[in-house]
Amino acid sequence: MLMKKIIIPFVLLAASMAFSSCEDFLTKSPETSLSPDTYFSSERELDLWANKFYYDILPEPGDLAELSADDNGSSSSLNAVQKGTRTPSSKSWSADTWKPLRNINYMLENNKCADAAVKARYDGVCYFFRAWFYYEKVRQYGDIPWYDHVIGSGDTEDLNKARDSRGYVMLKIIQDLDKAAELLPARWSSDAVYHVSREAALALKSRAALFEGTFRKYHAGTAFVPVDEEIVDGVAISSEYFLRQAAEAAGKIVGTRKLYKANTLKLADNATDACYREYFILEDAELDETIFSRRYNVDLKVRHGVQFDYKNHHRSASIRQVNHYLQADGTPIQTRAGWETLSYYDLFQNRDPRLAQTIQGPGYVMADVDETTKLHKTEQLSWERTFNGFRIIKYISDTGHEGATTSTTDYPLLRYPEVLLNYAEAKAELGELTAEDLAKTINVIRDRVGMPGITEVPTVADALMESYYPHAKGAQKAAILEVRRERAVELFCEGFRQWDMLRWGEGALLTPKATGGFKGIYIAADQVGVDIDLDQDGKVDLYLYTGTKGSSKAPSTNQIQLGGGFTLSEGTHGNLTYWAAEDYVWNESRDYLWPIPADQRTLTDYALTQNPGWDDGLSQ
Amino acid sequence: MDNYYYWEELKTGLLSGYTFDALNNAGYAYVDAPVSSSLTWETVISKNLGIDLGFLGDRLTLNADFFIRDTKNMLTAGMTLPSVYGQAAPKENAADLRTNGYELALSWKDHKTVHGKPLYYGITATLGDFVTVITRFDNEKNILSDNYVGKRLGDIWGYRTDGVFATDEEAADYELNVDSFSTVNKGIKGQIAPWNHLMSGDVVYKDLNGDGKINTGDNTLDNPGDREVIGNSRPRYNYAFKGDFSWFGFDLSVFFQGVGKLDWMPNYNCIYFWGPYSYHRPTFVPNDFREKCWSAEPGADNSNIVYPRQRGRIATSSNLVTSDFYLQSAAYLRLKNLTLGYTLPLKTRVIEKARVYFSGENLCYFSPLKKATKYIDPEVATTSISEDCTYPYSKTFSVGIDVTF
Repeated sequence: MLMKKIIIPFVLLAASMAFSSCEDFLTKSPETSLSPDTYFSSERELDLWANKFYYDILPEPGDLAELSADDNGSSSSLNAVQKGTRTPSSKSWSADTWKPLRNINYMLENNKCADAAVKARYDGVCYFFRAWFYYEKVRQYGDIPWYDHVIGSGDTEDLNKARDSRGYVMLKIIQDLDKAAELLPARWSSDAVYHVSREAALALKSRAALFEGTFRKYHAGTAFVPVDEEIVDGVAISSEYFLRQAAEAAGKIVGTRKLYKANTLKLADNATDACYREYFILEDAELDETIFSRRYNVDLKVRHGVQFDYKNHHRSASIRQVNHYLQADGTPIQTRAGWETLSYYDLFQNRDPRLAQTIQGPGYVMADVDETTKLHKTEQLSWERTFNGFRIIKYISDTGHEGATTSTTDYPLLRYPEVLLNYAEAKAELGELTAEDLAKTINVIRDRVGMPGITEVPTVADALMESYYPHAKGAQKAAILEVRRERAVELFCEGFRQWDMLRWGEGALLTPKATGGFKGIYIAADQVGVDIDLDQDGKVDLYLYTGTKGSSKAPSTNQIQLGGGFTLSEGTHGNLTYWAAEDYVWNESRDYLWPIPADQRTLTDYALTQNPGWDDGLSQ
Repeated sequence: MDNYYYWEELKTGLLSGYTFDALNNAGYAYVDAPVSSSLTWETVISKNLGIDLGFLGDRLTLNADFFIRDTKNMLTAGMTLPSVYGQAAPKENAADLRTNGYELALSWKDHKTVHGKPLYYGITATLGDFVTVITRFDNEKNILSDNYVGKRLGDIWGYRTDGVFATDEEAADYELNVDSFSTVNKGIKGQIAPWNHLMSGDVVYKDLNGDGKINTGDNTLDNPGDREVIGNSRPRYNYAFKGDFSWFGFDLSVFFQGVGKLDWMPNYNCIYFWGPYSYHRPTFVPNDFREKCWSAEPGADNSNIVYPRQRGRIATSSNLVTSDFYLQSAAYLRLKNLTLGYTLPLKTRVIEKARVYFSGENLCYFSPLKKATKYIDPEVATTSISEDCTYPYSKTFSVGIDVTF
C-alpha cells in the first residue's frame, strides 16, 4: 500500500466564550411587556386575571349533564367508575390541572390594588375559586396537599409535601368560603348572575360542607374516614360539624329567592307542566332561581354540545330514576297496582309533572315551532335518541341546537333548589328537620310544578326508597329518604348523582352489575316480535325481535334485535335493558376514592401516599 | 433561544370559550412560563480527529473523521417537578451530554476502456454513526421519564412480550395469575362485556420480575417494573452509496441512502399502522390489513401476524403501551436517485450539445418494516414531528432534454 499523503490530525477545541458582563444582561427586563411587579394594581388588571379562574376551574355543561351514574347513562360507554377502569395514571393530576391553584395564589400574593374595596372583592373571587378547586380535589382524592401560596421550583419541601387530611382541607375550604362570602358583593354591577357573589359562596359552602358531612357520616370507621371526630387547627370537626356548616350556609339563602314559573314557550298548557323544562333551555340565565350561571352565546361562538351529545350517546334515564317520581297526588309509584309492569304509556299518567318534563313521554312536543300551524312540532320516540325508551329531554332545545357545538343555552352552576335541598338534607341527617323546614324547602320546589308538599316530617321509611338506598341511616331516616328522592328528581343530570351515591356509601349501585344493567321501559312477553304503539297515538313506535326480523311498520331505527347489547330483564319479558353483561364488581374498600397517580408518588419521593386499596406497583 | 428566557412575562389575550356580557369574549391575563433563577450559558467543546488518505494514485481515497462533543449546561427542561408546582418545569442548564461519533468515506475513481470507448466511473461509500449519552442530570432517583446519567438518547423502554395466547383457557389462566388490567391491558378491561377479558389472540406480556403484576414498578432505573430498554429510536449507521458512470455518451448515476439500525414504536396516531386498533372510524385501512391480524378462524395461519386479536381502540393514546410486540425495525436502504442520460453525438453550428435524460427520485426502498406494512415509509415514520406518518415520500420521475446553443 502506498501512502501518498497524510494530513496531520488536528484537534479543534472550541471553548465557550466568556461574557464578562453576563450577570447584568441576564436580569434586564424587556421593555415592551407587562411585568408581575407592576400588575395587579387596577380593577381592570384584577378582572382580567380572575377571568381565567372562571374558564379554568368551572365545569362545562358536558362535565355535569353527561356524568353517567345509576340514574342516567349512555349506550356509547360507561364511565371509569362504573366500569372499574380507573388507574393510577396522572391525567387528572397534571401540572395543568394544578395551574389554576397557582394562578389564584399568585393573585392573592400580588394583589396590590390601592382601592381597598376593589382589592377585597377580588380577594373574595380568589377564595371562592380556591374553595371550588379544592372541593373537587377532595371529592375525588380525599386527602390532598393544601397550598395557600405559590410554590417555587426550588421549594422541595412544598413540592414534596405529604397529603393533608381531608378534614383539614375541608376546613380550609369552609374558611375560604366564609371569607369569600364576606368579601364578595351581593350583586356585581353588570352581568351579575355570571359572576360569583356572596350567595354563590354560601351556596357552594352548603354543597361542599354537605358533601363532607355525609361522606364522613357514611364512611366513618372505614379506611376512608378512620375517625370522624378530630381536632384540626384548633377546630373540632366531625360529620356533625360539617352538616351544621351546610345548614347554616344554606339557611342564609333559604326563603330569599323564588323559582322560575313562566310558560313563555308554551311547551304545555299549564305552567306547572312546562316551566321546569323551559328553565333549562333558556338562552339567557333566568335571575330568580339562578345563583350563578355560565354564559353561552351564539354570535361569539361560545357554545357547548350537550344536546348533540345526548343525541349521539342516546342518553337515557333508568327505571330506578323514573321510579323516584311520585304520583300526582304525592303517593309513591309502588302504591299503584302492577307498578313494576306498567306500560310506557301508563307509567307517565298521573305523575309528578317533572317526569314528562325530564323524560320524553306520550304527547311530547319539541321546542321547535311549525311555521304554518304555529304549534310545537311532535316527535316520535326514536331509538336514535334513546337505548331503553327513557329519552332524556332536559336541556333539549330546538333542533338548531343539535349540532356538535351549537348549544347556546346558558348553564346554571348554582341554582336555588339545590340550596333548599342541601338545607333539608343537612337538617335531616342531623335529625333536626322540622315541618317548617320542609315547608320552606321541598314544598317550595314541589309547589312550582303543582305537586303536593309534605306537611309532616315523615316517620315511616318508603320501602322503595329504602331498597334504593340500603345504607341510609339516622334518627330521621324516613325524611332522609324523601330528601334524596326529591334531590334525584329535581337535580337530575346536573352532575350530582355519582357524587351523591359515593358520599352516601351507595357506590356499588353505580355499577350495572349491582343493578342488573341499565333498565328501561317494561316489555311484556307478548310484545316481543310484534309492533308496539308505545304512546297510544295510533302509530307503531317499536318492534323488538329475537332471531330473524319479521315485517314491521316501526321506523327502521326502532326495530331492535334482542340479544347482544339489548336484553329483557326477566329473559322473555321485563325492562328493556342495556349493559346487562357488565361484570365489574364494586370494590367497597377501594372504589370510593380515586388512586393517586403513581408517577406523582415517585416524583415526591413517596411523600404522597396511595389511597386505600389501590395497587400502583410502587415499592413504597 | 428565546430572548427573555429568564424573564417572567405577563401576557394578555381573549378566552375563546368564555363570555360574561355576550358582547365580547372574556379577556384574560396570565404569566408565561415561570423561569429558573439560575440561568447561564451553554458550552460546547468538540474534539475532532480527521484523516484523509489516498492510495493508488488517488484512485482510492479514504476520509475518516472521529469526534467527541461535550455539551455542558445544556438549556433544557429540568427534572420534572411534581404537578402541584402548577406549571411545566422551567428550562434550566440542566444537562451535560457527550456525543461520540465517526464519519467514514471511501471512494474509488478510475477509467478503463470498454469496446474501444473510455468508461469513467466513480464509487463512493459513506458510513457515519454517533451515540449521545447523558453525563449529568439532576435526577437522583433515576426516574425513567426524565433524563438520567448514563442514558443513551433515544432509548426506548418497553415491555417484553411472548406472542399471543393460543387458547382462551391459556388467557383465562394468565388473567387469574397476572394482574395486567390497570396497565398493559387497560384497553381490554374497558371493552364492553363479555369482551372485557383476556382471550386467545391477545398479547402475552411477560412478568419480568415475577411479582404477578405487569407494571412500571417505581419507574426508576433500579425498579423499572416489567420493562427494559427494548430499542433505540435514534438512527444508527447512516450509510450511502453513490456511483457515477459515463461511457460512449451515456451517463448513469445512482444514489442509495440508508440507515443500518433504527427502532420504531408506532405512535397511537399513526393511523396507517393502527387503523381500527386506534381509531373509531379509520379513513384508511390497508388492503392486506386483515391478513396481518391474528385470526380466530380454525386453521388460520397466525405465524406471521403483526397485530393481535382484532379489538377496537386498544391502541388509543391512553391504552397503547410500548412493547416489543409492536416495536418495528425501521432500518432501510433507499434508492434515492437514479439518473440515466445520453448525450447525442451531434454537433451543428446552432446546437453545441444535446442530452436526453431520465431521472427518478425515491424509486424504491428495502426495509424490514415492509413485512408489517408497505404503506408506511420508514424514513417518514421516524422523522415526522406529528408521528402520524401519513405522507410518504413521493416517487418523482422526470424525463428531459438539455440543449446548449
